[in-house]
Amino acid sequence: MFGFHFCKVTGMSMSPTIPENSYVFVVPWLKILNLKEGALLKVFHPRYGYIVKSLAKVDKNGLFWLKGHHKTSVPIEKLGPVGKSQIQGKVLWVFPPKP
Amino acid sequence: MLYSLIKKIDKKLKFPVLSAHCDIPCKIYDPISAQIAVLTIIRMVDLLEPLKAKSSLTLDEQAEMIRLVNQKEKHGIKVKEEICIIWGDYIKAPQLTQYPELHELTHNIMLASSQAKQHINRDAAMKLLDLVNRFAEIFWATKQVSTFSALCPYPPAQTLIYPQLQE
Repeated sequence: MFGFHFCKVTGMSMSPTIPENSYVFVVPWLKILNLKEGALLKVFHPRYGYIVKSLAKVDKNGLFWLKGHHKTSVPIEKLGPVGKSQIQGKVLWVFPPKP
Repeated sequence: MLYSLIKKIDKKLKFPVLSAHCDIPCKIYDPISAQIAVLTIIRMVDLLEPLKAKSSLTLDEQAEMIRLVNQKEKHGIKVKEEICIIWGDYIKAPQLTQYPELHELTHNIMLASSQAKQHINRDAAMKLLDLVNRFAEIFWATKQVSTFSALCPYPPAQTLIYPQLQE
């Protein structure tokens, strides 16, 4: 509605970049821009549902490969590539919980 | 301060939840899911065989056949998934040294599961059960848990390998 929204993050696969229970500020329309490696993305994954991951690389077929930042994250090859239509937005800001 | 403010808004508006999904090694492995999936395949074959014997099927029978075949297919895939997870995540060098047949056994289960999916054939399903039971026997042996065989107390009343957990 406003061209942005907040989401709450559960799980620790993006820790320490996005600690568990953080809030993230997501801008859906920013996905139309050229996404660079390391960008934090909100993605609708066919197996894992709505997830937040970091962009590992864009392959020659234009598919997006995602990765987590924590050692417990689902590995990149298990997540598999996603198409641009599955990207729901780019995370602009992270609001971690108080330590 | 910003976090507290967003948290308060979240309580009111209920923001969508994003999962930062983990794949923590949980060490929970049990071949019983695969064994029960094979029993389901056998049961589906038992229910399909009377339909197979008929020269033509009514609409209801066709609907029943589709449902049964669907379940047989699903459980054939489940057998493969469950065995692959144990083989890929749990079986490592110590278990392979102890039971060198594990690679071949796992591959044979994959082939037998495909056979059971492809045909309405009790022998194919029973062969799959034998292989999965052997896999279960080895799995429990690698955990130093003795096993016993017993008839499952429900259709299709076939012999399963169970762990002897109370000794």
